[in-house]
Amino acid sequence: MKSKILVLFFLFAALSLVAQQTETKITGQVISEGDENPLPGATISIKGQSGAFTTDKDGLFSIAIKGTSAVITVTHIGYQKRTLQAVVGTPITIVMQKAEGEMDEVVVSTGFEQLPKERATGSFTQIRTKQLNEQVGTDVIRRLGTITNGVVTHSQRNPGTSWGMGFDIRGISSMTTQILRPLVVLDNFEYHGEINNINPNDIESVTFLKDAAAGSIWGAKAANGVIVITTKKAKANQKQNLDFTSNITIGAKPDLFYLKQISTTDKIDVEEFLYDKRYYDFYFDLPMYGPAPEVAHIRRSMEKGQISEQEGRSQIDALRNLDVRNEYENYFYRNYVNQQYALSLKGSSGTSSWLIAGGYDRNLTEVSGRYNRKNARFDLHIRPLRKLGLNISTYYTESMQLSGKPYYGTINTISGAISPYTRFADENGNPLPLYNKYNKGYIDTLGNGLLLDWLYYPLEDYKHVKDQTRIQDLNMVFGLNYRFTKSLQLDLKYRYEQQMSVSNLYQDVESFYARDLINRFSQINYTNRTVKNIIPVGGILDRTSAGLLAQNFRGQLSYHPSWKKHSLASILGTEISEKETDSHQFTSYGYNENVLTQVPVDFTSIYPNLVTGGYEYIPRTFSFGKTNNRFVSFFGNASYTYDQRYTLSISARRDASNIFGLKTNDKWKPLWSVGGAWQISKEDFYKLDWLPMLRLRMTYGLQGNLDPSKTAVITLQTNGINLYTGTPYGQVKTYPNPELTWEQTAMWNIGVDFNLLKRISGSIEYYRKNITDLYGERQVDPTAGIGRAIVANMGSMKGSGLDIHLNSINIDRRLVWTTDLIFNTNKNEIIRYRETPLLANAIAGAGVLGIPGYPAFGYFAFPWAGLDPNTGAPRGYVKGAVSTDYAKILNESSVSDLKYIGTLSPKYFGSLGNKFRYRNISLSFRFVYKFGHWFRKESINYDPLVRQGRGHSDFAKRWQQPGDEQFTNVPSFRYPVDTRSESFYNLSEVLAERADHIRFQYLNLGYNVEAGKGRLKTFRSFELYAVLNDIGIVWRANKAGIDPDYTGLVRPRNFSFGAKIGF
Amino acid sequence: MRKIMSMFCFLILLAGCSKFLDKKPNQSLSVPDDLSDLQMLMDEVNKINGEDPNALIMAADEMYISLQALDAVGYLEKEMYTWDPDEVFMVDSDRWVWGIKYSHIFRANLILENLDRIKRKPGDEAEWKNVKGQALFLRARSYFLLANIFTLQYDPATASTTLGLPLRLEADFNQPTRRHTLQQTYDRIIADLKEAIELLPDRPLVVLRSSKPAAQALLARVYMSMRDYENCLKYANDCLAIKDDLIDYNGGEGIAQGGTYAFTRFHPEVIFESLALPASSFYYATVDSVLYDSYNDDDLRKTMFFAGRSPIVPFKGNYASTAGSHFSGHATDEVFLMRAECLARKGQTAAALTDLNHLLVRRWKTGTFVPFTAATAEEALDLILLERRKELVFRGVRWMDLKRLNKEGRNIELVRNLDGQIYRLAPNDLRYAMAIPKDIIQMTGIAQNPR
Repeated sequence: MKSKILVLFFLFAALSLVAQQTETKITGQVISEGDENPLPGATISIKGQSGAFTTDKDGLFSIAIKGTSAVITVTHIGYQKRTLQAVVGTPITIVMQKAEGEMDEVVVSTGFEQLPKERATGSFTQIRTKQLNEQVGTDVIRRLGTITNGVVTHSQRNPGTSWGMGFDIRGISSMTTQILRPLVVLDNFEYHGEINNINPNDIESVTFLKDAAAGSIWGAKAANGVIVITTKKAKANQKQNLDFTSNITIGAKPDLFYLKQISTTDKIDVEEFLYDKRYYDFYFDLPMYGPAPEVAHIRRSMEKGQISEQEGRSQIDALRNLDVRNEYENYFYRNYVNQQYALSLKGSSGTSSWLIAGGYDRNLTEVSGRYNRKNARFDLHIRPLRKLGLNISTYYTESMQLSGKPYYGTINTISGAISPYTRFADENGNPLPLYNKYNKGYIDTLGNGLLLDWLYYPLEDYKHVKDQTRIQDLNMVFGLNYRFTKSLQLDLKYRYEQQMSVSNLYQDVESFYARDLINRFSQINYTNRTVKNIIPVGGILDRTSAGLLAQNFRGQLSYHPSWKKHSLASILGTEISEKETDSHQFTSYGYNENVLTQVPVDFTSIYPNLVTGGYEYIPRTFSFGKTNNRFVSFFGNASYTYDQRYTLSISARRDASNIFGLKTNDKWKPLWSVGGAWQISKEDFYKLDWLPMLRLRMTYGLQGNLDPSKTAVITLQTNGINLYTGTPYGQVKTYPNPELTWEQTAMWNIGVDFNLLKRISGSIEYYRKNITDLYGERQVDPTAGIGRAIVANMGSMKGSGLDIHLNSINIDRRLVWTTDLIFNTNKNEIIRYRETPLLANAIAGAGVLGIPGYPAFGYFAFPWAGLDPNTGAPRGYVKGAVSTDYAKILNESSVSDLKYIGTLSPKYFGSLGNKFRYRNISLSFRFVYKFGHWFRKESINYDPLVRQGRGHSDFAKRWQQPGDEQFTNVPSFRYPVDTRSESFYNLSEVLAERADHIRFQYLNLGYNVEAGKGRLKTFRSFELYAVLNDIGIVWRANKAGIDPDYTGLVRPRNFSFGAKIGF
Repeated sequence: MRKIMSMFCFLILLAGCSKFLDKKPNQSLSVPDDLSDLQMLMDEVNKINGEDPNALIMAADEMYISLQALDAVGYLEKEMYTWDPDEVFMVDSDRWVWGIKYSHIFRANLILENLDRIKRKPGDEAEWKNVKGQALFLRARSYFLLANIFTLQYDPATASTTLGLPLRLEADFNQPTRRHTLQQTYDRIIADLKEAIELLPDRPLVVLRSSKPAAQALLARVYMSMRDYENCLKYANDCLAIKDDLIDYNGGEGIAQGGTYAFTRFHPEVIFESLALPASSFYYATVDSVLYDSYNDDDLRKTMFFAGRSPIVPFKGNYASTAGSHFSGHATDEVFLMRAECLARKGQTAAALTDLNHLLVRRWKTGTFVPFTAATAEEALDLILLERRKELVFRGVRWMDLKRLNKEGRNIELVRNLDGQIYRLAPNDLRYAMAIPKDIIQMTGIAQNPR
């Protein structure tokens, strides 16, 4: 055997010697920039020589030439043309740069397979590293919302924004906000971990699966769209190289004065008014039940003659110039600084290839909190036998989040907001106490000085409260690939994901929380001046730990034969998956952080509370939780292409789960799709030169949406242990509803891909979806005893829209200018709904609504009849007549009495990006827009103003005297406050505003230093960049100066700069 | 190769179809299938023992709230305090007494329906009976408290034609709601309690769970509200035969050492602990001045219940010693007073006064109490009724007493004076049946109480 090889080797060597003497050849390899994949099928032409050559499947070429060198030109679809000198005997590597504005990537990933784009029938949007990195940030998700075709970010004002991912793909597919979350797939498997674990530097591409043909392979979880994240991978025959990225982001302090708050002087006037109404008497009579504002204290001293009228007035007036926002700005806020570093090393040898990458993020938040994240990744591919490939891929993340100083609005009293004239420090910067829980004077004397200091100091307290969360996540995939024949392969994959998250809230003995609790549970013996502490004098620790373990096993057969003009690509597989979560919560008293000890306390006895006198248990959080979701799925898809012109695709999937109460037959949910594509431009009859590429495609299919918390049988939930009986206590969690089935989305997608004049490429897609069996709340008469509503399949909804994406090369000389326009429309409408709320006030305002003929995010409001010219009270209509009978307006109006304002979700949205490149400098920037929707602006509400001290700056615009109704719609301040009048005002049409706006999202300036030469010889590449992120709103339809996307503070502008270096 | 493929498919199928999918999705969830699951529903004490209607206290004649305080707490409590004919309870009634009490009724129905379905263990007979008894007690008590608020005074002559409550006796929430007659309402309450008495144990694990004496005390109260004093006497007797502890306010067991509240929690008089829903105006309220002045200075209740009239301090005589709310459960002092009253009404003056004095000697400073005497049964009855008012202040029974006593012509008119604005509630006013929340009327189409 050995000898045979030796003979062959010599024979080969001899032959090549002969060849070299008789012919001259240039050799080399064509690879693509960035990922450095070999480029098969690149065309090479040689100057002065006829004919063209193409590279082989490994991107290699070998061309005989006359002479010893030649000027060659290399072209490849999707890449920029390159012309260079090649010398015989020196193999060259030709790196091809991607064509500017190229949006059609060659291959898209569904998480199950890699699909050549020209054979895909479904709707995919792919975001590549380059586009992703035009913005800088710690997480990856936030930036996707602004650059992806078919995706719109949520406004904080809309219902359901706290759920999901902060954006919708092609509008909503459910009315249950909890399940509006798109499915996230990381390297072929659903990712259960915290999404912010993923380091943006590790990402190769993100693919959005938007229609049924693309997503139905993901079955019952795909109705809200699928986001497939693919990390950078080791690749066969890659060169060994090292890449390093580093950047720093500096963000401005948030503008607290953007918040529309009642002015300090107005607030003082309100407090004085309430004092005159004897509102604060109660605070002084029962000082343990809450603090009165400082102004009330001054007024009381004046009333009691402790200070003179004049003295009191001047004390009050001195407060008028203060604003607590300055205190926050000065003492708590700073510019935030985020640092990011990433290193990756990859290489290959013979049968194996590998990649090792690490990332480190270090953030200092605007309130001096911390967020640190470490990522480590390892990817190894081995092909020990020609037919067998093995792969191990691990991704480990560790993050730590630590609280800092208080955010604006987090320092409150037990009755509500602190007065805007509150000071945290005196003139010399010494911390001032804030009476946040008990009235001034009360705790000063209680306990005769035997207790712990009972004052709260905002400037000190945060130093003694440490809220820390650590998350560790390990995601491992073991893969085996066996090629039976060239066209038949078996893939087995096992994924193991484990996430552990631990939150510790440690409040040491100096913290107000600990001192207050210890004091309240103190038993004082006044005769011998001793104190018995029921709660040990020490720190208090609340710990929550949550574990997650997900395992998937997937087996998949792929069959990809092609013969003559036919080709087939098919997969068939099955997957078993299980996700277990496990949580545990407890409280430790007398906790000592340094020696890790705690003092046992008696949680089973009741003790008198020193303040209220009532008997109470020592507070504790204590719980265990465990969930287990299991799925078994079968899936398959196939696409058949004839002559590269016609493609037909089908896919199907069935899922079964262990969800409670489903009958076995209902556990299985079949979902399927079909699609077709026609590459018209490849037809013989096609002759349009100005439209060199034209392709039509159409798909239809079903996707599911399931909420594992909804079950068809009655379930009880244990809430804890009843301390009195020692037995568990609980409640009914879900009520029986045997008819309950999963939500289902059926989607049509019609698309055209084209290339116009070789300058404009793009796609236009139109989709329609029909969502049936919508989960919704069916009203139940409270007399039934199960609350006001139960979950039922309530109706159906349709949605439709356009996804248009255009790329144009405007100038292509030394200066290259490309434009990228995304224009999306989306609308939805409830077709059928089982019931309509009887009362209009259940519909007015903002909510997720089921009213046939209107969008799910419809905005209805009470018609407005102006302010009463005599009282300034808001007026509406009762049966067509102007009225101030709010109980009637709210409770007796019907839906037809309301005015439909519009939808809360944008009808038109998208972004416009421009990119300029001149030599090594590039400049790109993007605007994001949303049009055609409405929002409800905030205004003054007098009930929270009186009770909680929270007010809006509209207070200054309120009706104060007859005639004011000509200029203002803000109702007068009438005391006692009728909350029904407030509800009517809030739900009336005068607070509706147009939400249309354009936002300048980012600006990126890049400089690509010419590496590999001179002083930069050691570098393979060297790129510098600077980015301005979240630049802000540039146009808005509302005149009130409100950013419609934010309810509170607007995300401040931030600036990043960094470098990307390759060795 | 075909072999490998078929093996592979087989393995997968096997895994998929076996028990893999039978795993519980959430460990804390269960479908009710054993006794402890059902008991669990009644051990949620902050609901089951903490949601009695506060309207029974707010609308009666025990407390005074200033206009300023009512303005500060909001219009709803003011409407409750001034007997608004149209709106007493907020429309979102699941947060108010209608929805709350019906949710307790739902729990009781659910438990009763599942009791025959669940898995039984040998020897769990007593526990099974206990659970069933508690469920019946819960249902009866919920209906009784609702009847106090939403129906007129029971009168045997007209009860079959008077509007009662919608009686829901099944957990099925698809059943329509319709109002039954007052007779049917009381019949149901009585039947449930009689059955519960047979099932419940003499002593509960804690007084947060019902027991035989609790059911008897409640049934005695039910009969008293119906003015069926014969039956009231029977069940008061039965109750006291099992539990007749009284604490001595002069000190000893049950009396708190220092602190805001006068009593320790779970003291021997308590038969069943339950609290009224908190109301903001409880903080602002003072005891009615006439009532306060009716306590003798040697009567310990004057200082143990109230911290004087000024400055305002909440009621200290709360038998649950819990801040922010009032005890509205059952205790032996009430049962003694019920028995005394029934005896007086039967003309057994001496026996009635024995019970009264037995109680009061433990309420006055040691050595100061001179036993009450009465020349006639009528005189004894008046005495007992006054002491009943004083003993059971803020316990949620006064509203029921106002209804039944006015029925026998005692002509108690309630008057509120809010800075000169006078509100009156005449004896036997239709507003003694408070307005059912509007959304319930709208949703179910049931008749509103006549105004």
